[in-house]
Amino acid sequence: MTAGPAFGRALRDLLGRTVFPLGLPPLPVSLHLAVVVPDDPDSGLGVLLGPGWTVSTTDLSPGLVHDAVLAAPAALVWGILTGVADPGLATVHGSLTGSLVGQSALALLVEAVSGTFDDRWGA
Amino acid sequence: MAADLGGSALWLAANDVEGRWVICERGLSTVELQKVRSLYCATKPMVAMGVLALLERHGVDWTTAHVDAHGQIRDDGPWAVSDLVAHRTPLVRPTFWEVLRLPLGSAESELAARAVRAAVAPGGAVGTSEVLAWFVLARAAARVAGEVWARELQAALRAASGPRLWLVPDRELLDLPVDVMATLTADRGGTDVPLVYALSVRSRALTSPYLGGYGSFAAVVSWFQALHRHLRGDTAASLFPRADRLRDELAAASAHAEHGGSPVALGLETAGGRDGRQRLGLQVAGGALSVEMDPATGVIVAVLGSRFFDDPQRRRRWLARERSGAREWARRIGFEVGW
Repeated sequence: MTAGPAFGRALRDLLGRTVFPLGLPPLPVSLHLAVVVPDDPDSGLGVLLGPGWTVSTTDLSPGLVHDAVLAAPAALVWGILTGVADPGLATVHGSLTGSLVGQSALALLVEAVSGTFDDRWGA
Repeated sequence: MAADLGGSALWLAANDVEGRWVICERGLSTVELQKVRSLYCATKPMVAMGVLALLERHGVDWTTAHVDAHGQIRDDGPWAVSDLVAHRTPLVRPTFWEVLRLPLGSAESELAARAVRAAVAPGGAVGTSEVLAWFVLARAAARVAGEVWARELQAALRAASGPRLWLVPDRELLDLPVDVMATLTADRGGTDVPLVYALSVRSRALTSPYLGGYGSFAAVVSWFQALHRHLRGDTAASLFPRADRLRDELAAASAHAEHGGSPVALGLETAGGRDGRQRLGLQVAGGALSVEMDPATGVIVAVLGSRFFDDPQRRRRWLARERSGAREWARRIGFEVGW
């Protein structure tokens, strides 16, 4: 998936279907996360993590201070979120930034969306 | 002369609802204390002492040895082994958090490259090393005893502290559901928010002697008990360096700290207690647990911090249940409590 009109819709659909692992400790506050796509500015979106680890996608809000941001080209964002590219690529080049709490939640979100834990770390 | 209590463990919970300390548990059997957690830096003294013991068994005098970026013991190595385990090197970056989020499989090569760069460009401010000094130490252990050293140390630690302790990942650790694992927390606007990423399978897969381990608080306290037995003369040569050298190193760190230097030796904080005697201790998981041992008596005080319980109601119930008889037990072992 590359930048283009369909990318934003696919991104929302993918993130909207996020399933977190059962048993996570309670999230006492809502966290505002964002995905920014420099080569497709219309496709960026916000992700609101609510208590109970609910996920809802929103339009980007320029006036909002986000807890963490994933900013990368469309192809890399798509690769990371679908498990093709290593989620660590989102941070190693500084493309995942934010507060410690925000980065922690966004990093887990990325892994939950990609859903490739066991494929990578089989016995 | 203080009575030798043989490594008694006294569990306290700090900051209960009335702001007092309350003894919660004198045994190690509760589910909460056995729960698997990300211990991270709490395993550093276990690794430090295990590696120094390993070096001793292979004829290396770690009190004078130097090491290079590849873990080779050599006289002209840029770092003293004893400095690596006392946060007295400039190997400050990367942080634990930075390494945790590197692409899978790249941590070893990234840290190896960083160590080489640090060796060829010495200098920089000395400070706490969350990862890199321990990586160099781990390389030194591998050079001397082969890559299997970490699993062998883990087996020795489990023999002393119980099976729920990991320095290297295995299927059991990776398969643990998140609902049996507590987590670290960080402050966001005055509210403690769980650092959930520390729970992920990916993070567990990065468990290593240099990054940190997983295990229970009970295992940490059991290790302190083993340390006391070793200092008392029940030698555990696979876990700890020679007791006389260990005492010397800890005493030197205490003296150093009195003059404003680092109080850390072999991964442990050293300090004087109110009674003037030395205390050895560490903090676990951002203050969820503090452990302090009086090496003279063997009394170990394990204080569960405010972040231990994620549910205040649960915390209150637990404290109330354990309060009965606590004062009497404290009095019997002669431990001074401030309540």
